[in-house]
Amino acid sequence: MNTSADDRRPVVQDAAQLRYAALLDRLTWVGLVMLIGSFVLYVSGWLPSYLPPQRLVELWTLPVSEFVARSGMPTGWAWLGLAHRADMSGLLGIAVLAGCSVPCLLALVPSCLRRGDRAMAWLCVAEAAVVVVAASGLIQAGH
Amino acid sequence: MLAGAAAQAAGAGPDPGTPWWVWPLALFFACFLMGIVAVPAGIGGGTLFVPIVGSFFPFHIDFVRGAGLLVALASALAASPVLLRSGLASLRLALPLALLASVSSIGGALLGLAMPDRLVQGLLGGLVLAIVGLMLVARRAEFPQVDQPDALSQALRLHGVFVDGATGRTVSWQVHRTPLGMLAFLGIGVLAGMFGIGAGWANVPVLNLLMGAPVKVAAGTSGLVLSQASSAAWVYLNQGAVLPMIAVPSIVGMMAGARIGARLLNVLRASVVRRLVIAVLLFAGTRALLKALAIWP
Repeated sequence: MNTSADDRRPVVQDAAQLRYAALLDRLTWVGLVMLIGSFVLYVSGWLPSYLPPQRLVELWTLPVSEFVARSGMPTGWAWLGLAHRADMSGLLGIAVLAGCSVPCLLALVPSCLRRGDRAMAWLCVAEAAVVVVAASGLIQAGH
Repeated sequence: MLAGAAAQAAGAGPDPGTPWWVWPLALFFACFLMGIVAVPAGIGGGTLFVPIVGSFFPFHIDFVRGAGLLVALASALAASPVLLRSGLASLRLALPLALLASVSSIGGALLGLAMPDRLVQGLLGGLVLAIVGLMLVARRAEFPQVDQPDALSQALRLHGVFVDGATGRTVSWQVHRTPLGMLAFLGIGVLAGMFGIGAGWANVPVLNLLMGAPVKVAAGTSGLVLSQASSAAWVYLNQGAVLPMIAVPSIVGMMAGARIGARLLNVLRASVVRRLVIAVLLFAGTRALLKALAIWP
């Protein structure tokens, strides 16, 4: 049996895996803190919002294309220019969470290349590239 | 008040007199409960989110799917570092699968956002009922037999070692049927992107039963794949289909509930919770189908 229960010997995980875990841990916490902080600012009304909650409730039953047309909500990265608004600042934390795998993957590439692990390096770059292309806003859909 | 609001949303639509703050609060508590039961039921919270919130809350399915992807992503991100350090998630195993799932989930998201609402609801209902069927029949193999790893698995060095917490023994593993597994993850990515639904229900059987990873490694690596395959979430975000008012209370509620659920794992009877979750999913799946057929709008 190749998947076997061996003797009780100490196990140390691959250094690249541990480095990836450490960076991912830090970035996830940054994203979560940003997410919760901005949400508190949003619901407390301490910062003005682009679309007030009372208006949002009236529109969130609509398909996204109609919602955007009627609310004037920005699409793509246009929200970044409105990040001083409470509801838009919430997207910053979301963007950090959705993008945090990219620096983690790219951080592994130099050490993979040094060890001659080209397949792993290529996979890291390819996966990061796919997320970056998706994040770029070049890919659009619609009803 | 919260139950009343959800009941209104499930029925004739939201009461315009309902204060706006009721909805994020109701979402938080609903997701908190989902998070608690998700762990003992052996299903990701992201899988429960879209069918349940899509059925019982007034938000359009586009926003529910956008939030669903983020709920699954945030839960996976929070768990992945611990799983990677313990060896219960394998970066080497996750990477090729996440790459394919990422690419196909973009296609799934584009398709899902372009499809008519009723078609999305109908397909979602069918998928949820299929997940219920899978939960009822699927068996897991703790340490599947892998006699010979395939050439691709050998080339990518898809093997690893971890200490099994239950026995304290060191377990080494390897996988086979890698090309078939990769093909399966292409399909899983399409479904995940299309419906915004967490894919643990499909990832784990493919990794465990098809590729031969031990069930604990399959569950851990499935979460890691979800944390890396965030491309579909970006498609929804760029379209404007991610609303912090829906996504944030859902993420926080689900993560808080999952922490409680993990602690209650030894107290709750997993089989009872699992039956409860199956019943709720059965109801939510049927509701989505009836919505699609305009029988219960």
